[in-house]
Amino acid sequence: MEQETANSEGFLGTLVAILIAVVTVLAALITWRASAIEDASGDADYDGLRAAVSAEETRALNNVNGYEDYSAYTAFKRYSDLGDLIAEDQVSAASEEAAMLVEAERANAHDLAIANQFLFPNKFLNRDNSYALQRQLGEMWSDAAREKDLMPEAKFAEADSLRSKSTKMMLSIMVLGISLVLYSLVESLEKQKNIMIALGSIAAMAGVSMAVLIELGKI
Amino acid sequence: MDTHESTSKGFSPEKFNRTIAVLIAVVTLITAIIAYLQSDAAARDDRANRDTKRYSIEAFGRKVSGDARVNYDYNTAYQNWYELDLLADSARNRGDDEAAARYEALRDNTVQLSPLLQPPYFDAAAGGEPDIARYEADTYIVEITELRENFTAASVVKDAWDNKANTYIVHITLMAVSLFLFGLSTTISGQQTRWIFAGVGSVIAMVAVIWAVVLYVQPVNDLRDTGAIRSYAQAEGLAHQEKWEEAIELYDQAIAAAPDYANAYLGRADAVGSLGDIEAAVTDFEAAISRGDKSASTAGNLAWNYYLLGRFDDAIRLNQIALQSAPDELWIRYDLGLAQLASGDVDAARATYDLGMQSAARQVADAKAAGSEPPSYLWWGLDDAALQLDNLMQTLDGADGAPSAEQIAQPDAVYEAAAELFTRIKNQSVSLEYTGEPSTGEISAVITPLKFAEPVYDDQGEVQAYNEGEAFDFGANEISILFDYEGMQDGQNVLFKVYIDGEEDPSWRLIAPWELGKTGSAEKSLSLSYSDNFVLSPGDYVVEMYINEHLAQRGGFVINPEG
Repeated sequence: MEQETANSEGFLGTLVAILIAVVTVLAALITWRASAIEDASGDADYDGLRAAVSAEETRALNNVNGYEDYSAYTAFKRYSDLGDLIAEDQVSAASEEAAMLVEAERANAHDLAIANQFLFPNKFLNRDNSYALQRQLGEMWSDAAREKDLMPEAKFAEADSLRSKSTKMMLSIMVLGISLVLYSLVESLEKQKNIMIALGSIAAMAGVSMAVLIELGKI
Repeated sequence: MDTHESTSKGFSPEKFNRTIAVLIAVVTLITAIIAYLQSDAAARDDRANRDTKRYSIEAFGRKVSGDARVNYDYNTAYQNWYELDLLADSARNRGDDEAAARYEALRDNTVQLSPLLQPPYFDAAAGGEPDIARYEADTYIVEITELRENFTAASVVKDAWDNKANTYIVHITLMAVSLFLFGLSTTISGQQTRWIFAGVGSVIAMVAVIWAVVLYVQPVNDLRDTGAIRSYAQAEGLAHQEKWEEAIELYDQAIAAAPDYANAYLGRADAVGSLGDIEAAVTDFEAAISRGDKSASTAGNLAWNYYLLGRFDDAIRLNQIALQSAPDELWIRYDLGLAQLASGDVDAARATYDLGMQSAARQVADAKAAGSEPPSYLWWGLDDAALQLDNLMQTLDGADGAPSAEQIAQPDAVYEAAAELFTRIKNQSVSLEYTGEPSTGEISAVITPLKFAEPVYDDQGEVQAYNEGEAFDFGANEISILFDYEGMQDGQNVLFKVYIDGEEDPSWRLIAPWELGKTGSAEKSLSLSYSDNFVLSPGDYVVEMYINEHLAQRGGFVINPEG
C-alpha cells in the first residue's frame, strides 16, 4: 500500500515537473510572439509617420506650386480682361489719335496677358475663363498618391491594433502564470493534488487558447 | 546546544522547499502581471510618442500650406483688387471716367478669385482692408494651434507612460532578485541563512508589489480627452483677431474643462490685459506659472503687469527670475531697468540699462562674426525700451499712464535719468543697425526743434508758404519738416525715422548724406504727393533726426481722424 502511494506520488511529481516545463516553454513562445507583434506595431507606426511626412510634404508643395500658378493666372486674367474692356471702349474713341492710343493700350494689355498665360498650366482653365484651382490641387495630390503612401491613418490603426494584440498576449502569459502557481501547490498539499493538477491544466489550456485566439485575431 | 537541536528538530527542509516553491510560483505570477502592466504602459508610451511626431509633422505642413494660401489671397488677389481700386480712383480724379469704369469692372471681377475678397472677410462695396486676421484664423491658425497643443499634451502623456513603463521594469527586476533569493534559499544548507534569504526575498517582493500598486493607481491625465484644447485653439483664433471678449469666453471654457491648463490661463491673461484689466491679467499669469509654465516670457509678462500696477518690487523680482533662464532677452532686461527706475533706484537702473546695451552690442557683434544677422527682436527690444522710457517721462509730465505719476519714487531724478537713457538707447539702436558698433562720442551740430507744416504751392508748383501746425486735418498729402542747423558738415550720415502711434514705419525712413552746408535752414518732405490718391493716415506722428547715428532732434505732429 505504501509502495503504491510512493509510486503514485513519484508519478505525480514527474507529471507536474513535465507540465511546469511545458507551460514555461509555452509562456516563452507566447512572449516571443508578443515581442514580434510589438515590433510589427513599431514598423507600422514608422510607415504611418512616413506617410504623414509624405502627405504634408505633398500638401505643402502642392499649395505652394498651385497658388504660384494661380498668381500667374490672376495676372493673366487681369490683363486679359483689361484688354477686352479697352477693346470695348475703342469704338467710342473721340478721335483717330485717341483710337490709336486706346489700341496701343489694348495691345499692351493683351501682350501682358499672353506673357502670363505661359506661366500656369492652361489645362486648368475652365470654359468661362476661370481657373480650376481645386481640380489642379486634387490632381497633384492623386499623382503623388500613385507614387507614395499619403494615408497615414491606416498604418496608425494597424499599429494600434498590433500593440493591443501584443498587450493581450501578455495577459495570456498571466493566465499561464496561474497554472504555474497551481502546479506548484501540488507539491505542497497533502490532499487534492489531482484537483490542483486539473485546475492548473485548465488554466494552462485557457492561457494557450487565449494566445491562439489573439494570434488569430478572434479576440 | 539544546536550543539548536530543538530548532533543528522542528524544521522540515521538505516543507520549507514546498513553501518556497509556492512562493516562487506566486511571485512569478505577480511578475507576469507587472510585465503585462509594463507592456501596456510601454504601448501607451509608444502611441503617445508617435502622436507627438504626427502632430508636429501635420502642424508644420498645415502652416506652410496655410501660409502659401494666405500669401496668395492677400498679396496677389487683394493686392490686385487694391491696385485696380486705386487706378480707378486715379482715373476718376483725372477726369478719365472711361478708364475709371474699366478699372472698376476689372476690380469687381477680382472678387471671385479669393474667399478673402468675399463676405465675411471683405465688403467690396465698402472697400477698406479685408479681415485678414479672421481669414488666417479660419484658414490655418486654429488648426495648427490645436495640433501644437495636441503635440504638447501627447508629450506629457508620453513622459508619464514612459515613466510608468520604466518603473515597472524596476519592479520586475526586484521580483527577479526576489526569485533568485527564493531559489537560493532552497539550495543552501544553513538553516538560518535559508530563512534570511527567504525573508529578504519576501520583503523585496512585497516592496515591489506595493510600489507597483501605488504606481498603477496613479492616473495619467490626457488633456486631449477633455475638449479643452479645441476651446483653447478657437480662443487663440479669436485672440488673433483681437476679439478679446469672445476669446475670454472660450478660454473660460478651456479652463473649466481642464483646470490645470497653463496655456489657457496664459491666453486669458493676454486677453484680459488687452482689455485693460491688469489685476485679472496678473491673476492669470500667476495661475499659469503655478501650473507649470516656467518660461521667461511668462515671468517677464507678469513682471510687466506688476510694473503697470506699481508693484515695482514684484516686477524686479520676476524680471530677475526671467533673466536667469533668458539673460539675452533685451525686453526683460530693460523692463527690469524700468522697474528699478520707477522704484527710485536710479543707480541700479542705469547699471541694468548698461548691461542691456552691452548685451545688444555683443549679440550684434556675435551675429556679424558668425556671418549672420541679429534677430529682429533685438531691434524691437531697443525700440520698446525707448518707448517705455518715453511713456514714463510723459506720465511724469502729467499725462495719464500706468503706473501713475504718484507711484513713481523721486520723480525728478527718475525723469532726468529716463531722458538720458532714452537718448542713449536711441543712439545705440541706430549705431548698431548701421555700423554694427556701439554708439560712441557726441555730435557738435545743433538742430533747432522740428516744426511741421503743410506746404502751399503756386500754379507753377513752387512752394509759396508753409502752414505750420501741430495737428493737420485728414486729407493732408504732404508734411514738411522744418528746422535750422549749425555746425553740420557735408557728408555726415543723416537719418530720419518716422513713428506712427508709437511704432516705426520703416517705409518712411529718409537716409542720405548731408549736402546743405554748415549752417542754415532746411526742409524735408514726408510725402508721396506725386500720387493722385495718397494722403497721410490719421495718427500721432513722431519724427526723429539722427546725425552720425546720434539723436539730434525729435518732434511730432498729429493727423486728425477722417471727418
